[in-house]
Amino acid sequence: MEQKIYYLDNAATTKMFDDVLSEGVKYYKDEFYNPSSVYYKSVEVKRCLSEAKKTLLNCLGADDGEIIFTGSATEANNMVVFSQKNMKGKKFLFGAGEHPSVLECAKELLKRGYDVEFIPLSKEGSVDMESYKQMVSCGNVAFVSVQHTSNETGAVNPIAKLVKLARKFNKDVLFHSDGVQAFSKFGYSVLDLDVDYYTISAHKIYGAKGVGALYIKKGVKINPLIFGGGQESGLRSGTENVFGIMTFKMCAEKVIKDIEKNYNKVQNMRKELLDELTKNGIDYVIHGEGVPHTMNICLSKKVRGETLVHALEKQNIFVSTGSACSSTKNYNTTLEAMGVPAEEILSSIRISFSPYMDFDAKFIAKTICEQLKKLEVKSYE
Amino acid sequence: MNKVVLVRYGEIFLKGKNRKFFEDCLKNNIQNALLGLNCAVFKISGRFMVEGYNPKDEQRIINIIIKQAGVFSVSPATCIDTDKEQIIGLVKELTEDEVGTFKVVTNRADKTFQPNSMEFSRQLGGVILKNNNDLKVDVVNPEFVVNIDIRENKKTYIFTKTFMGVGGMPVGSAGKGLLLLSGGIDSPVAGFMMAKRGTKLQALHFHSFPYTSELARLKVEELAGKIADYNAGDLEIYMCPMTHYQEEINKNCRNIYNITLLRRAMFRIAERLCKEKGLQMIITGENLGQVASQTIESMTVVGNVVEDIQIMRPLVAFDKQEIIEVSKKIDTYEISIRPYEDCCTVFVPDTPVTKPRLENVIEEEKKLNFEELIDEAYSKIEVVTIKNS
Repeated sequence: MEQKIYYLDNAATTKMFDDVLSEGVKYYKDEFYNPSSVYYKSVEVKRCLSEAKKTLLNCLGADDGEIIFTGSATEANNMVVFSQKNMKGKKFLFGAGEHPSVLECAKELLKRGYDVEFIPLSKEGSVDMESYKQMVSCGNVAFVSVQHTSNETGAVNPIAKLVKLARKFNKDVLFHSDGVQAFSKFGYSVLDLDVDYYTISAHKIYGAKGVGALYIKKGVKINPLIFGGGQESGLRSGTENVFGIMTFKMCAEKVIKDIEKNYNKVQNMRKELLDELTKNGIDYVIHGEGVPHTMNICLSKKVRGETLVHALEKQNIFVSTGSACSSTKNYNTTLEAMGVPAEEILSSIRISFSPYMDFDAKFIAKTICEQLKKLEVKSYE
Repeated sequence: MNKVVLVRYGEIFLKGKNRKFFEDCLKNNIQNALLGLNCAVFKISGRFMVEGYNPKDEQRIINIIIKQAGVFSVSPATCIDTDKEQIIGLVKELTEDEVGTFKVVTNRADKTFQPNSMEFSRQLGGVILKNNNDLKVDVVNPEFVVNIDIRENKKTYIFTKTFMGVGGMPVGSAGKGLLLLSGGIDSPVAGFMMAKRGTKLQALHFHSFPYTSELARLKVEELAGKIADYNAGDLEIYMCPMTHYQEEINKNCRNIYNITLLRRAMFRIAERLCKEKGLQMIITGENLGQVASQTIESMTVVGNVVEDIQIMRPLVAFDKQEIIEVSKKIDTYEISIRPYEDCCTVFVPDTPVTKPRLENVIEEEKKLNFEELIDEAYSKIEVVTIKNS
């Protein structure tokens, strides 16, 4: 009998909904037309894309503003950061725990001679309010980017409050938030957050890979990063990924509808697993506080996180050492910014839950415990 | 303590005995616009109050309400029991993150509350200043106002922000109209202006496929979606094909009259549709002198075909720039400037007649079997229902 798979890396990507996949296939079969062509079949597809934008806006709690589809959330984040032209001499602030798709842009700006500063993190994983207050109060801050929810720890940043504080000292400040790990996990409205730009991604909410979307507040400008045929109101050229976009729409509708139910389910999953780990005698440390969906945890200081990830994969339990986008690098900069000791960083793993995936807290905790015992012995030998 | 949205109306106040009709109409429109957001709308003295919503939806609710014609302004407020200490505590909390200049305005409908309004405002001002060093008082031109509304029902509403509404009169209070919606900049603005005065809109769009495209139709649908936000509910668009009519004009008549003849046909169809659907007016985006078909002579000759229905031209005396400003405000400008042909831009003569004479136009029309052609176009009208956002 084939052994069951326990996929606990849903912050890296999610499994596409079967019904969405079947429904979405029509955009490669019957409705395969290029949305930019002028005949009615193409216009029908264009109309579908327009509907998708409207749906996503509504799922974000907005009634106006723009949605621009991109090839990934990384692209959307790059578009926002590199769109801020003619701002040399003004200050750019970035959260120290941002996803690499923002953090690397910030470093590039720094190389190009921009005035860039990183906002320290608190030990809970969100940006440190006192430091932030000090940084924005200089009045010269023109752009801020702080993720809504951390991809590493699940920590949630109080975006509305951060925006208000930034505007207090410069009413023209532009605020971007990477909402990839927050979208559809808990209820909020981008209007309430009052951000200028907000990034979301399809494959984190059971949709297709290769589609991101950028919300742009009404009246806020942005410049294109990619030039060509003028799709997406000239802001993102390239033939639209119709299948990806339409699955994005379908998934968003589905997940937003069950948002509270899913939240409670994930909260219970996390609690069950932690309870089982305790029962198995594991003395764990969790880094950061936020949504229950993503948990950065040190299960034993004697075993490297990466070793544990590989040991568990052999048992068909899939977790990660951190964001898939940064796990190729050696060190977790988010945990470092939170002040987590180096030995704990190296022995931590990230577990990210999904209400739609198989889960067996007892089995997973037992397996973790068994593997840890084996590995701890080996590390002593 | 609960979050509420206070909605004030403007011109309705000028109404006398029939004020209730207008108030009910506006309340109904607000309720319909907020369907799906799980909240309740109540009438309190001289205003409406929305409550019971999820706080995350507050800004969205405000954005929807300010688009309802008849609404003067909207303020998100916090409602608490009238208690001096509680009021002071909340005012401190609401102002602790603010910077700049402020003043406090107390409105005391409950005269049993002591101290009096002036004194209480002064006391609260002192509390705020003590609590937040970044604030200064400016009673003449403050950057924000802390409003304390002490009501007779022992409730107090506190708010610091006010959003302006579109003004005007509630949609549905001033009849029903048929908007001739072309896809250009002007007609959506004309629709908005009439909705703002209380007219419930339906729209009529003429197309000339294959000279115009599906993309032009999509553009009109998207424009209609924007207008629908101001129309208290859905907006029905009647899509009428004019291809055959235009081809016949082009073939049989002197082409300097192409546009005049086309527009006369459009008005005939519009009037017929108004009568069939019980609509009381035709609304156009015509603007005096803007193009050849909008000289006073052209408007007279074209309008001459409409016998029993009022023609409304709300933009007649606007400058183009003024129209553009409104179109940007209502979010239609970017859609309107998409470069697709509409039926008024196909078969356009090089030198259209700017001062058509009725007798000449009638002579030209005689070269057409225009009644039959109009019947044909009318019979092919399709209806599309556009939902608001």
